[in-house]
Amino acid sequence: MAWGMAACEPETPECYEPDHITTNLNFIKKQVDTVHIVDSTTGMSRDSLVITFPDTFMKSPSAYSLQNSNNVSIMAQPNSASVAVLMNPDSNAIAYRVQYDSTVFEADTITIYYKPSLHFISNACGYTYYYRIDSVNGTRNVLDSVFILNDAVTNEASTRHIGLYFFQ
Amino acid sequence: MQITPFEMKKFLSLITFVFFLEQGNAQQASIPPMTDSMASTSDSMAMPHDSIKVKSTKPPYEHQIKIGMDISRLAFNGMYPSRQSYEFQADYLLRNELYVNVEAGFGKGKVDYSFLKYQTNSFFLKAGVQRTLVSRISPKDFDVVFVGAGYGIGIGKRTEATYHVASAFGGSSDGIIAPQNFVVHWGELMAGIRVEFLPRVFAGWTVRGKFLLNSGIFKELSPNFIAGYGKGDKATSFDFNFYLCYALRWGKTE
Repeated sequence: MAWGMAACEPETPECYEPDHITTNLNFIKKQVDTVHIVDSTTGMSRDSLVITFPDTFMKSPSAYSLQNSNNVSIMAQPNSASVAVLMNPDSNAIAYRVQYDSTVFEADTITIYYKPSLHFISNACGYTYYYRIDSVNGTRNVLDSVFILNDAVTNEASTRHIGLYFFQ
Repeated sequence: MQITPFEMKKFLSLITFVFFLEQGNAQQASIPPMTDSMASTSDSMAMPHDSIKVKSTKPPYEHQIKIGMDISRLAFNGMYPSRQSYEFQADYLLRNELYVNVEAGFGKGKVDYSFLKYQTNSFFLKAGVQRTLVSRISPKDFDVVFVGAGYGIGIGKRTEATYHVASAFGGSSDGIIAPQNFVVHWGELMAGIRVEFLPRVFAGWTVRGKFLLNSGIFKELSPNFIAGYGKGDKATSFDFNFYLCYALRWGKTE
């Protein structure tokens, strides 16, 4: 060692980039509003239905993986509009039981089909897996439908990947 | 007081003489000084078959080449065992206060983490120019404060890399990334000083920003260290060097 100087390099470097890649399941509720419009020139009025699909905040959403072994349980923050689930790089599909309110047993099973791909993050973080979502389906206990919003699952934490639509 | 016609004529003649005298001086002042080329032209007109070549002589000049080693690398090698390198430089002072600068060096990098393992070996060459910011106070003054720009090329090889990716589901995946030979190019902007603290012996530092020009060549794995550049997974790099140099001089100052 030169000049007896102590090495200031850690044995394991600090990784400042996300290396746990998650898929965001977003809760979207169909919202129907009746709008009463009065024509200012004729004075006639009419009603219109306006349908929107805003992100919906769930009370205490959670997800539990349904694999043969080594399952994970994920609790989202209370009043969250999404829950971030992990994919298994050793498989091409994973199923999650998604509970919208952990205090009420109403749940659906979401199955995601995907292709993992190895991705180099940095020397400090090493490798991780990105995913390409091929398809997704779900039960209809509470859920109306499920759609892929963005099929590329990368280290962009804010991306909305899968939309869970509710009509009630 | 009466002015006779003779006196009036004499006065006008004097005014006219002074006017023409002033005109003559003005024309003479507007003629540029005769240059060598004009002289040779007039001579060649007088003697059309002869040609006279005027050879300009350069003023006396003391040439200098500084050769040095970056001694800060020795300290960095001790502090960062995963990045070992040795760097050398040489520069030559041109007459127009410009330095032509070349650098060379070699080094090796080592990544030995639980999730990634490989080694790199590389060497580099750089060339650039440095502009002095402070005029020399005498021909014997070789202290310098400079800014400069340069180009660097690094050539190296990364060994086979092994990686490990842990999974939250209990499994893990291990794999191998094939070895890669690489050639990287980068540009540099630099600033620094050199001070002659003993006769012909200089010390000084250089700070530099580097911009990797072909970072896209590392598709699977960017090497942790490229000698002369730094971290291969960064498109820009900042560096500090502290040189100890010896000057070789020849030529006359007067």
